[in-house]
Amino acid sequence: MTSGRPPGAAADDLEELFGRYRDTGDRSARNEIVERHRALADGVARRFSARGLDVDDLRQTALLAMVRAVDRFDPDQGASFATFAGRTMEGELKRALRDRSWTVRPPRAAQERYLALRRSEEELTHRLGRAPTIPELAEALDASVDEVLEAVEAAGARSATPLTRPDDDGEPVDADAILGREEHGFRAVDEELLVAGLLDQLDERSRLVIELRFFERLGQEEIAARLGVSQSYLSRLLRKILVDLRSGMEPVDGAAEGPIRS
Amino acid sequence: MAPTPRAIELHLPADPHLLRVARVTVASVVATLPFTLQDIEDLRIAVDELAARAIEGCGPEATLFLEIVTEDSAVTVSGRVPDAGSLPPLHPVAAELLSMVGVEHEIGNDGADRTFRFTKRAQVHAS
Repeated sequence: MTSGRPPGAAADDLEELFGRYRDTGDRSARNEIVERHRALADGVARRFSARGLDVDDLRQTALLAMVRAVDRFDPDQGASFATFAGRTMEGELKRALRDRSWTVRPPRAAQERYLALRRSEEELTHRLGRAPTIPELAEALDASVDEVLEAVEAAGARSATPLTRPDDDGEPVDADAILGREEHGFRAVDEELLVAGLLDQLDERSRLVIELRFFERLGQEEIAARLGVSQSYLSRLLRKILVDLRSGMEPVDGAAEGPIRS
Repeated sequence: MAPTPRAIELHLPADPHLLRVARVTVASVVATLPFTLQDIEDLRIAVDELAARAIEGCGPEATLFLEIVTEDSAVTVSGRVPDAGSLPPLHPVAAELLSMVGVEHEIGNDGADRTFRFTKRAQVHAS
């Protein structure tokens, strides 16, 4: 695609594409940027494929993350788009696999609203045996439908800001290395991390069932087909896994609320 | 709970930046239907990609007409850009995004107008 171009032409083109997309919203510019980095998305997805999920599912997650990365990339922050997109995709894939944490720190209120929404979604999913609807979430949260939708919008902040920033020499530096400071009140995030620990205690098939049902949001019928079991057996298996997970949580009730380093 | 409107019409200048209005409107209209968060994410992607293709190459003087019709457990979104001419080719990235969202869609020309339409059904049935 770039044969015959002078050195640096590809980067110049990319800059021009970003400029065009930012100025006009032209989706062909966005699509071209994504297409040029598709190999990067595939590579990131492949790195996560060893965890038992279908590589096509991971590729789709990575592709969506890259599309969001194009929307949010700020070249003035100093990092290249490939660096930024790579970090964004990794964050999204980790979330898809573990759903355990925020990759960035949005405003506290938005974060807490979204975490409350996710907790409620999980609880209702367990109770109802299916994903809850928006009105059901609103009722459970004692919130309006509009407030639930606002929390959904807040979810966009999960990977919204660059994870690197330039140091004094203009070199990109991991934001966590710069912003490491004491934060209080992130117990909710800690509880999300607990899930990851619990999942690690499950056998491979049980973990796959949980990931497919609650992280990939597949229906029981589809999961049963993937595993080659009947839906009724899958339903019983899912119930047993959830009971085991719930019992695994009991010892950690009342855990210390000390500050968490962000 | 207030009754859900049966049909919503939205007219927007054919400016890609304004597609966010379409996304938010669609999400808001279906919010009282039995859709899950994932369903709504799918709807937002579908309306964004299809509308973006329908307005591609049109100036902001063109208008995107959207109609959002709700039933008990489904929503149908139709779009029209009058006198916009032939559709540009579908970019592979847009095609892949549309393939992810699980909605059957139609997009094409009706005379000189560009049109699209898709229906999303809720996986959870209204009680």
